[in-house]
Amino acid sequence: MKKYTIHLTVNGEKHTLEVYPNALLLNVIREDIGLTGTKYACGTGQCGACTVEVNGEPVLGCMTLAVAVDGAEIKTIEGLAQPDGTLDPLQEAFLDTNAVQCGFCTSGMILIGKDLLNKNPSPSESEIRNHIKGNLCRCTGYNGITRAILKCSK
Amino acid sequence: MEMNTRIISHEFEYFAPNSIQETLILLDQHGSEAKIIAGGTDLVSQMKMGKHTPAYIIDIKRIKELQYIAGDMVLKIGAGNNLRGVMNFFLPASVPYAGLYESIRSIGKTQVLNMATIGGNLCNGSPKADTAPPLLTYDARIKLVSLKGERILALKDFHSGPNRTIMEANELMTEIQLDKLPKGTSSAFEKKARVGADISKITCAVTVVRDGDVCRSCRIALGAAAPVPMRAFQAESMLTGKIMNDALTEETSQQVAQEINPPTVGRTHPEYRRHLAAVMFKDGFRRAWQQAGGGK
Repeated sequence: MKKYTIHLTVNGEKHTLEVYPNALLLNVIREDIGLTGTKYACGTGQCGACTVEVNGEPVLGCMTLAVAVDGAEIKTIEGLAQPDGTLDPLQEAFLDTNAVQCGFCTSGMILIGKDLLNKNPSPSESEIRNHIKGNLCRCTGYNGITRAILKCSK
Repeated sequence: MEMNTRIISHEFEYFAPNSIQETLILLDQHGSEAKIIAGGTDLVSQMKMGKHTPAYIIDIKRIKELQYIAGDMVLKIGAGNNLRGVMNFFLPASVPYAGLYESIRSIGKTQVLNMATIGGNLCNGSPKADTAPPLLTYDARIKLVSLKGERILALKDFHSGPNRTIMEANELMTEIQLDKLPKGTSSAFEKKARVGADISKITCAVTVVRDGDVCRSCRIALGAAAPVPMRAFQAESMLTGKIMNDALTEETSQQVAQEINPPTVGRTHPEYRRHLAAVMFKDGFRRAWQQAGGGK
């Protein structure tokens, strides 16, 4: 199988990669680039653990061919904090409201929560629950997660 | 093939054409061994499960020519629009097309709405495709193009069986066409699924043209109710030109339940699906009727 050269800007850093056409964006981010904050869970588009931003919009990394996003700007959970390590306000809120238990859904939850706050800085609780519908959490019952996003709602 | 959802285990060659013309040339060369990918939300998971093992993947996501929504008397929707774009288009003055807006909203997952396209939702051929029932009630047409020419056909003639369509291997769906709906039209979409943001157990779309208490016409379509997305034509004919009352709605809902052809395998019992079809129709009809009457 022929390899393809692709260029990705991940959290502001440029990468040139050689990938097979059947390589998935999630695996390229985790294994080739080495950023393991983005998680593999269901692999079939049901759980949202693999959520990353491609050109500013959240998508499922496990369902995206890496070759199909050649040239894209990608943001992962690692790109949210400041370079000096200062956490994003939503990350702080997740800590404050005990929105994290096992932590496997957290990367995706924070990115989808951030996406909502970018589009609608003052979402209601029902708007939050609707927006995070595609992200499953099997520990928290969603209450802490909803409270964390609500805390950042202006 | 054993299921492995972490990777796509089979190998293929990848093309990313920049225009419809380039795509058609590729389809002409490789059509029978190729699969078109747009959002990939259906195809990638099917490839992971070994249901499809195409030798070639033709990626049409970058083709700007397929991403437009325009027109007055005939609204033309490019097949490459993502579902979020279509949903947002129908957001502001959505009364006539409320059913289409609601069907996309019911898919729910933000990420999937960003990735998946309206053409993909139809071409995947699923009897459960959420956008199919509302589009059927608008008498939507689709445009299929190949190097040999183009054909425009009614959406109701597009699906030919579970996960099958009449599309030829060298054809590309480029457009969905909707006629402008008459004054007094409204539509609604109802869906039953196990949990939120899930695959449908059954769906029903209703489009009514209302004139005071008279139902000028009513179009009813259901998803996951038969081997293909279907219209309930006999139930529709019971309402044409009638003065509406609760007894007539009830009687029509029983006809809807009779008219569906639910699968006998799977986790939903056919009789339960018939019951749901009647309930979904009644709920959808009442909402569409009220919206068409300005909330009355």
